[in-house]
Amino acid sequence: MEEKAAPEAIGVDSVYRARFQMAAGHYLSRFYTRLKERGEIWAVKCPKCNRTIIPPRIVCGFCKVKIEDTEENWLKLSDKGTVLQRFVITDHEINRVTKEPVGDDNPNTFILLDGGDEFAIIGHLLEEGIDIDKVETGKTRVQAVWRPKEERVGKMRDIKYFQVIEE
Amino acid sequence: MALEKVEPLVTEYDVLLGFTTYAGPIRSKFLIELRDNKRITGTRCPACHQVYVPAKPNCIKCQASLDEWVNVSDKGTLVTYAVVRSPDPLYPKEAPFAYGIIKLADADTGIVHFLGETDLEKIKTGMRVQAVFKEERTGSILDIDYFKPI
Repeated sequence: MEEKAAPEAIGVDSVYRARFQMAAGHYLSRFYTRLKERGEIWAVKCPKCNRTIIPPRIVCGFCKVKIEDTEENWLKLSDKGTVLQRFVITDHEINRVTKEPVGDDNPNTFILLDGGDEFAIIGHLLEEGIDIDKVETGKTRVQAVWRPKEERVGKMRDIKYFQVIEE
Repeated sequence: MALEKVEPLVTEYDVLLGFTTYAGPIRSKFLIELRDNKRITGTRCPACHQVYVPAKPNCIKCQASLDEWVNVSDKGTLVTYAVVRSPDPLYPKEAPFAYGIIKLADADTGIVHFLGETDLEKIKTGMRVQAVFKEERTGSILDIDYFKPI
């Protein structure tokens, strides 16, 4: 009997596209508006446990109390901070539709910003081409490099990256 | 002191995801025939004798497994069509273009494909069309470039 060879496996390429909008909500709108117009990073404080909450939200995740949108509940953080963790991008995912690499070449980082408590952490980028071995977690001090005001759009990318500073 | 008023912000997303699915043994064979032999094939149901083009693994009427292969003609009749005039980056062709359902001779089901080499205004249902294959074929339904009127 003739042996029937298994047919070659053929892949069918498909593309899924989703276009949608999402409302930032009142608290994030204030956060991004102040980022854009004032060049400042603002957080909220829980009125009960007093912890810093960034990005700002309406309810404290720990105490479940509502944080009223009042002056005393908003807290301005410094744009300087300490590196908590850093990640080097060695390999980019390629978007199979646009054929372009996804993401930046800059190393990613978590930064503990001055002016808040141990929860005042944001994720952002470090300078491109930085010597990552000289960035020490828990030690290296960094400061935000802002885009010029006319280029800001009200997104986290209004900060270009964080730059190492000597103190 | 009252806080300043802020405009409600809205973020726009445009998610583009590409993915590949396995065509399965029957559809793979159909696409291989297109690619290697420029041949359009279908499967015939042993129970109701319905011929499916493009080839299907199961009969939708009797649920029978289909493994009887038939070669069908590359000529057929246009059953229905639509003209696309607004462009979209996801379309495989530049707008304006036309596509329709073509019922090939010997087949009982229609194949959805583009219509080419014709004036968009002159397309009519019931007209005779023939498949035009691409020079470089990759094992995709788009190895047929379009159907042209004859």
